[in-house]
Amino acid sequence: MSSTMDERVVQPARRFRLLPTMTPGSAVWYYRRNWLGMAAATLIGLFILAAILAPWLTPFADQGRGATNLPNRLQSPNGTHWFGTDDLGRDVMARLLFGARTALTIAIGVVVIAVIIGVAVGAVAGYFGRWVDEILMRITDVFLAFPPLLLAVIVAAALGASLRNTIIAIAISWWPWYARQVRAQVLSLRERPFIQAEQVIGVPTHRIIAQHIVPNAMSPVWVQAASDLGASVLTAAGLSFVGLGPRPPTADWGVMIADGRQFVLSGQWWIAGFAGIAITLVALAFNLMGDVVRDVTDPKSRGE
Amino acid sequence: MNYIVRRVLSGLVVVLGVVTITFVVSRLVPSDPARLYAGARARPAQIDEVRANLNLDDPVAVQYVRYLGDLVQGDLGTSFATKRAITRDMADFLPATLELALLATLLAMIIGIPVGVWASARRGRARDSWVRLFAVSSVSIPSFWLALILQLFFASRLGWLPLAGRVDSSTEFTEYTRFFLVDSILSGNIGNVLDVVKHLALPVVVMTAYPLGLTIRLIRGSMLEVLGEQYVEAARVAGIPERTVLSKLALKNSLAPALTLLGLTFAYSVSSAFLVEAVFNWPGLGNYLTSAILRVDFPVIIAAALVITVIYVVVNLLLDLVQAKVDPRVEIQP
Amino acid sequence: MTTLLEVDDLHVTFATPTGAVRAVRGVTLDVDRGEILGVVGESGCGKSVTFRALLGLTPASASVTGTARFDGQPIDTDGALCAHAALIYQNPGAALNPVFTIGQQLAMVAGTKDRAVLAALLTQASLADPERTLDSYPHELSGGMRQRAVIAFALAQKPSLLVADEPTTALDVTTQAQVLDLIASLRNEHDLTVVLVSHDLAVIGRLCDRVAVLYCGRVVELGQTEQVLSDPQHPYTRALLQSTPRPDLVGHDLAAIPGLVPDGRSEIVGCSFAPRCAQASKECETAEPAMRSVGDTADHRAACIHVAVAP
Repeated sequence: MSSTMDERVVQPARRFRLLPTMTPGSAVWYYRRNWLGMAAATLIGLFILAAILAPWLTPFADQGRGATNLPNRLQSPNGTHWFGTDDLGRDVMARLLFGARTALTIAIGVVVIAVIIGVAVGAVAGYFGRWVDEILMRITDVFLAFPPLLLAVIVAAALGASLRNTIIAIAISWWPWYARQVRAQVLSLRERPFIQAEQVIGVPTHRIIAQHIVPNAMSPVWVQAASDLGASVLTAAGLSFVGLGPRPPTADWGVMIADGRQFVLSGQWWIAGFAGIAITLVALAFNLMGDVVRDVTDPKSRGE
Repeated sequence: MNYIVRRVLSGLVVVLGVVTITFVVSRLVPSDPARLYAGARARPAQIDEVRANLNLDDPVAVQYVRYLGDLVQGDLGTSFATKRAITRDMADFLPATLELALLATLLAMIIGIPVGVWASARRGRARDSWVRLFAVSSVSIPSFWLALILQLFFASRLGWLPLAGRVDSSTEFTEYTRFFLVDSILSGNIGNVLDVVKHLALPVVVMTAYPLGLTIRLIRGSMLEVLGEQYVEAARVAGIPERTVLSKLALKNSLAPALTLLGLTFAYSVSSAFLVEAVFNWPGLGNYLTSAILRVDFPVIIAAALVITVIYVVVNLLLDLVQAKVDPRVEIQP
Repeated sequence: MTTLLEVDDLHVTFATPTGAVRAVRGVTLDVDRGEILGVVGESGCGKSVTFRALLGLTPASASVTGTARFDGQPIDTDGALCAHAALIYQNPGAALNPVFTIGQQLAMVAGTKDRAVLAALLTQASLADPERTLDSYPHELSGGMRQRAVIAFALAQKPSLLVADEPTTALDVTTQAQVLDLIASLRNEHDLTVVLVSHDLAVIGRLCDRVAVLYCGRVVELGQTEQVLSDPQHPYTRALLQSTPRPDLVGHDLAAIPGLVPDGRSEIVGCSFAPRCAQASKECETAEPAMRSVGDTADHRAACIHVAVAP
């Protein structure tokens, strides 16, 4: 052999693998073709930063937390209060920033809880099958049968309006979807030779499930979770709007719209206005991000 | 036929499950309805009397069984608040919500499907990007906020459309179906029809937003998937014009997801109507339910949940049946 | 004019997240009227892509350069061939629309709803009971029947050229033989020219008049099938034939070609087979070898500098 391949043929540099089908180079390639995705990522970044750094981003942090300032109520946007003040005199921008905290808490809380419960139920049902599967799936079906939002509304009403209960209410209505998806994946994974091999050599069941089955079943979960983060902000806002969300003085975008509603028609639009814009932008960003995640994990949707 | 019977049975089981859960959950509410209905200044004895009247003394299991018994006889119970038979209330409020949901779903399909197909034909080009941006914005906007904004501009600032309600107080016509659009047309009076339409305009537009965006996204996605299939490629090579490929071939393949979509959007519209009804003071099921929740009106809460779920289950069943007819690959398991 | 299709220096490059993939790197070949030309090579050598590109089936992000002529007239390399050619697929099940009956789909292609005409097409494709097949859905037919339906679709387009892309790979051996016989008889009865793309040398040997051997997006050998298979000149063709399992060599080690096929993203300087070739020398790595006449017959050509040039 006169020469080896590596010497004579120009090879691409050694690649470093992140996700199963992605490398830093390909990630950049995707984003360059998808400016919407980049914009969405930026928005989400800003949202998270705003939520985390809220107290330091505004001189009116105490108002963000709830302190009122009645003499200053209902000021339209001006030099001191860029977004104006609400009906209790609080700086709207501060309320928005602290509302971002609430929204982020709810989004993460809901998705984490729903995913954990859903994946656990789905994996157990799919792996053990038979009567375990039957029982778990019947329960899942009943929860799935609730028309969207209805269960969340009822649970929130039953538990009482609060931040914690909002998270619980929404998570309770969303976990069944994850359970169904994961169960379907697990059912097909269960028959795969490598799992059967592990069973034969005696790997403990909980290890098979945790280390091998679940990671492989997760790909539809990520996609849905990404867009559920946005959906939870929208749903929570809806609950807050009808009074089933976090209670005052917690800053919450949905509550701001509800409170600001009576002033909109008389021209004081900024309380409800900016809160709505915030919700829309965050939901938009997460939805776009969900699209990008789906494009990355599913070659078919890329048109390849 | 066997299939239908099985589905109906499983539907009943599901409805029963929902009602049970709602029953149990609503009794977890910390506030005591008896106290609420007896009034703020009621004395303990009066509260107890009210509680006995409302049958809240009996153990929960007994209340549950009694409720089921009433249901089977077609009695949805009596509202704690209005003291009226809920069935009568339903007859008033349900059509109002259904009218909104049906119109919204219809509009979403009529506009969304062609737009989704149109965008999928030019994947990646300018018009596809704009359509995608529009669709994703449409599903991201909170419906109640959009309602407020539209109210502000069209009702308040421009005065073109009314602020709230289903009709002007001066408008009157016989309510045969309680679907005002139908009833006003039946009344033969153009003025009536116009009034109803003006009142329907804003709420329907708001309710259409989310389903429209969803439809566009799903149809576009489904079409893109189909367009990538080899049989579409084969059709192109065989010389079938692109227009026929899109409209006849690919569309039929995308129809199955479209049907599921129909069910999704209708169910979503019915159950999220309460947000829009709140803003427009629309006398529908949503408003009925929300005020019942805030007033701890058990029977209404459960009845409303029941009705919404039954609608949901029936719609899904019908769609599954249609789906089986449309897609020859789907076999109805005997 | 005996040459039906001429392809000259075709390059097809795909844009992917990890770089440009050069699938076809300068394919030049010609298809004579009335012949069955085999195009053979291993997976990824560009044999399918060549014709798919000419039929306009590559994604918009792919770049196709080169020229082509059909029946003496220049044609665009982005699908103009569709007007004259029909394609038969490797997976007939995927090529048929699952929600329409065979009859409905055939009618769209043939441009007529006349059942007699449609049934005749099915009969030409050796489908028994055409009436019933017309009303059947693709999933109700067997693999062999589906492939014949696809052939009927092809015939309905009244093509001068038939491109068969691995038409037998998804079929069992008996059905393979039937389909191949069908293609041969169609060539005879309908004055068709056929390009048969396959990785299966047995299929090629059975059916094709001439064969082109592709490696790494280039033609390395071209000639009469008998000649190429019995007296292969290019080292790759020789190695390929040697590595084909044969019943009489049971018990011997399988002769494999050492090394790996070069990555589609890489630039290749010189002969693409050189790294794996036992006869490679320094000059092989400098310039791409041109096709030269070799062997005993006039039209046997190979792209290798180490082969004796024909007198």
